[in-house]
Order: sequence, then C-alpha cells, then structure tokens
Amino acid sequence: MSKGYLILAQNSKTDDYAKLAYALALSIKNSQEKVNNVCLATDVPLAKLDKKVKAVFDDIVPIPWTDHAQGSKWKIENKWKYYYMTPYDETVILDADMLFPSDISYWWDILAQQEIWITDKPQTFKGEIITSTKYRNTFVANGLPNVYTAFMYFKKTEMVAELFKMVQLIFENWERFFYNYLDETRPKHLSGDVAYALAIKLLGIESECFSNLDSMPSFVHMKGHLQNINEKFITEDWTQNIPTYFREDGGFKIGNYEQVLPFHYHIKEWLTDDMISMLEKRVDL
Amino acid sequence: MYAHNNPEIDYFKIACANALMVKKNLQVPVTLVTDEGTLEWGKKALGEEFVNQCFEKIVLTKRIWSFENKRTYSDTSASQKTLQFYNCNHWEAFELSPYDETLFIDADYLIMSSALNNCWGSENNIMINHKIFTTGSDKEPYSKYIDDFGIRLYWATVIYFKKTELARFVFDTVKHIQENYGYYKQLYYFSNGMFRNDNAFSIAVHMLNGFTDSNTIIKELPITGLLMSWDTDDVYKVNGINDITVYAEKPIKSTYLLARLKNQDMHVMNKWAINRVSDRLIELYNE
Repeated sequence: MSKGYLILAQNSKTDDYAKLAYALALSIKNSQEKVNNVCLATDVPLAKLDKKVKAVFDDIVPIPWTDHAQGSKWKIENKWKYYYMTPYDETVILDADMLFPSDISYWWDILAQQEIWITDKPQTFKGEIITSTKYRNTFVANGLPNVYTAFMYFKKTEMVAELFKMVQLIFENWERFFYNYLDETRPKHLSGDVAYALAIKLLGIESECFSNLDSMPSFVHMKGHLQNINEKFITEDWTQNIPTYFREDGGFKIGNYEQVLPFHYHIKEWLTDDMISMLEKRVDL
Repeated sequence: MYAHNNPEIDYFKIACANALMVKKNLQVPVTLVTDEGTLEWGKKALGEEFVNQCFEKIVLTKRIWSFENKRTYSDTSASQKTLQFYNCNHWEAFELSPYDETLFIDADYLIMSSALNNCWGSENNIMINHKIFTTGSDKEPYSKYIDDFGIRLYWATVIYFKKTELARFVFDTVKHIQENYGYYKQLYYFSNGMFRNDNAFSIAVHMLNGFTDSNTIIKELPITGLLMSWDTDDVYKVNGINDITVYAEKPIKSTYLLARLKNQDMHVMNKWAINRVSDRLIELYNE
C-alpha cells in the first residue's frame, strides 16, 4: 500500500502557493522518517517547474479534466478532485501554507484503521483544542461536522469514492446546495470545508470520518482569533503579536512553545526565504 | 515548609498551625526552613516547647537582606498593603530536606485531608500542579497562564519530590531562572515584576516538558487540583477539625459566596485571614 501527502497548489494573483507547497515538501522530507512521499498537484506545466521543485516532490500530477479554478480568486474549485489526483493508496491532503516541524510518521498506522479521517479538533500554538467558533457560524448553526480539510486522510474505498462524488456535486452546484441545506449563515462564496462537511452530513457518515481522539489527526491553526486568547490582545495577523524562533534543524518555537504538530501558518508572509534556505540545506537541495 | 516573617504577616504562626494539621491528617513529620529573626520571634510568641512540638526539625537559613521583593497583599478587595515577600530560597528545598520523599508545602496551603498521602511511593521523581479550582471567581486566564500569550502556570504551592537527579535538575533550573529573572521576565512576558516561585517553576517545568504543555516528563500531583481561596476572599469561621467556612469573592468585586469546606485542602492566600484564625487552628489540632 503506497502512502503519501498530496498538496494542491495553484498560484493566485496575490499568493505564490507553489512556493508554499515547495517549503512544505521540504519540511516533510526533513522531518518525516517513515512516510515522506509528497505529491504536488498543480496547473503549472512540468517543463516550467523549477529544478528544485521537481527534485523535492516524488510525484507531480496535473489537475484532472479542466482547471475549474481558472480566473478564481481563492483557487479552491479543484478541491473535490483529490481522490482522482492522488497517486497513493493512502493519502493525506494538506493545505499548502503549512510546515511540518516534527515527525508524525507513527500517525499513519493509526489513521489506517479508518477509511477516511478528517481533522475536527485543530489546536492553538499552545497545544489547546481551539474552542472559538468565530469563523464557523455556518457549522454551528447547521449542525455540520467541524471539518478541517487542511489535514485529511483517506484510502481509496467505495465509501470514500461516494463521498468525493457527493463533494463534486456540491462543488459544481454549491449555490443551490448551500441555499437548500444551510440557513442564512451560509457562506457567500464556495468553501471547501463547508462543502465537505455538508457532503458528510448528507451521506450520514459522520461516525466514519472522525474519532474521539483529541491529539490526532490535528494541526496548529494559526488564525489569530482562534488562539484562545482575548481578542483585545491579538490581531488577525498573529505574526504581529507572537514571535517565531526558527532553527536550522527546521524546528521552531512560536512564542515560548515548541511546535510539534503540522503547522498551518495562514499568514503567507510568515514563511521567509531564510526559512526555505535552512530547509533546503537540511535536505541537500 | 518555609516561614519568613515580614512586618505584618506572621508566617511562622501559620506554619505552626499548618504543621499540626499535617501531622493530624498526613501523619508525617514536618521540617521548617526559616531564618533566625523569624524563629526568635516565633519562640517568644508561642513558646519554645510548642514550636519544637510542631516541627521535627528546624533548618535555619541566612536571610539575604539585599533581596527586595515587594508584593501587594490583599485582605479582601477592601484592603491592600505592599510588603516584603521573602521567597528567594525555595530552590534550596531539594538540598535542605532531610527526607527521601518530600512534600514541599506552602505554609498557607492548609492541610485538611489525607489526599496528599497518595503521593508517597510515587513512580514520579517530582510532581507539581497546574490544575486548580476555586470556590468563587476563577480569575482566568491569569490563574492558568503566566500571561495571555504565556506558558501554563504551575503552582509551586505543593511540590512532591524524591532525591533524584531529575528532581535536582528542576530545582537547579529554578535557581538559574531566579538568578536571571530579568531575562526570563522578558522572554516569558511576566506582567508582574515581583519574583514568584510559581513563575520560575512554570518555566522549569515547561522547559523540561520539551517547551510544551505536554506533562510528558513532569507530572501533576495525584489530586484533582489545588483548591484556591484568593486573597480577595476571607475566612469566616473554623467550625472544627477539617471544617472551615470562607467568604469566596464572586467575579463581581466585594460580593461573596459563603462556602463551607470539609476534608478539603485549601490554599488560603489571604494571610491576615489565616492569622486571624490561627489560634483557633492551633487549639483544634494541638491535641
């Protein structure tokens, strides 16, 4: 059974997601002892990709069928295609704006106990479960499972294929689905997490997709107002309030806290060229 | 147990009362660490025979008069005073303790149950608590974290330790933090300038737990948590053995909840309140 990480990266007008995905792949290569295959799904033709990018990714795949995110601001319209993009039997989907500071290889044996396992309890930089529902009004109001697709494991099984089919239907008709099944708190744009959550709810497979474990799968979600800190003291851009101590070994502290979980930094400017250089040195690139 | 008096707070008398409570509830001897001035005062006020009855051993340490540590003490929200708080030598407890297994207990953590007897024979080298609970206002987040952005607060009110290398390392780290307190204050965002052992132990525990809140190396005590009665509370009455009633301040200042506690250890941070009932405690527990 092949195992690996899949990162979908399409550059938008404002963000260089390919660069972020490259840094994430470097950090996976640097930190993961057992499972460190990484696949990049991108709309950039192979010939145009940088040598270093080609070197760090084990697999590079095009976006299947047509690019549904053409002209889109957020570039999320292809997120229903993960099932069809991945070259692995067991896949963990990652958002591009993440880094891996420590080895979580041991998770894979635990994840393999389910067909699909989605993060529903992300953590603060201090390692507490996020309690804020600030950006999750629709989830609360509509009783949706607390889906975070930024770290999502799945195998290729019949049930998972059915879920992705439902997700495709919702992505392609999101306005109709959101109108029919969500109250007035519904998002005004396509949201990947809401679409996946709605698909899971409509199929009634909540108990197949999550677990009671708090510690995994999980990641640190660095939206400023999710840090269980009084909003008076922290801004949306957390980098204005909390220092980062990045080390040459690729590990780092946020404030006084060593980071051990996959780290979803959210603020793209947080990732510096110095950090990338340090990671490149670690993996001999 | 430690006792270093200041001009208003008779820590020595509180320690005597609590030593009797320890003997009653835990049935273990108590060693007191104090200074010459405090001991002289205690013996004069309470009598040498009584003092010797309270403690198995008294260890005298030299008081460092240059140590300045001003603390604002409250006797409920209605009254506050700034006084010297002499607490710079708690890291010495590791060396000074004559026991293989020690429970370091702040004099104002009144022992009214046998709960801490669960510590003896522990497989852990050292145990200290983050978990607390209260009868009134919980004062979060500052009772849980040393700052909004800061690390988990561990309460150096009760520490169990064995004479092992790991435990020694914790106390040595606390000493190092104390000696470089200005640096650590900047690094860990303390809002308060006063030296607090709670902060120093919190940093030491945080470091030894891999700069996380994971409790992987340093564990918590085998109790549900430390019960806190803040210095904004007051003691109404000592009803009997292991039976006390307090006014616990609610989140709204100067409004109180009357709480009767039986067979429950309690950190009474209003020192005047304990001083007011210490004669009664001594009378009850000195059988």
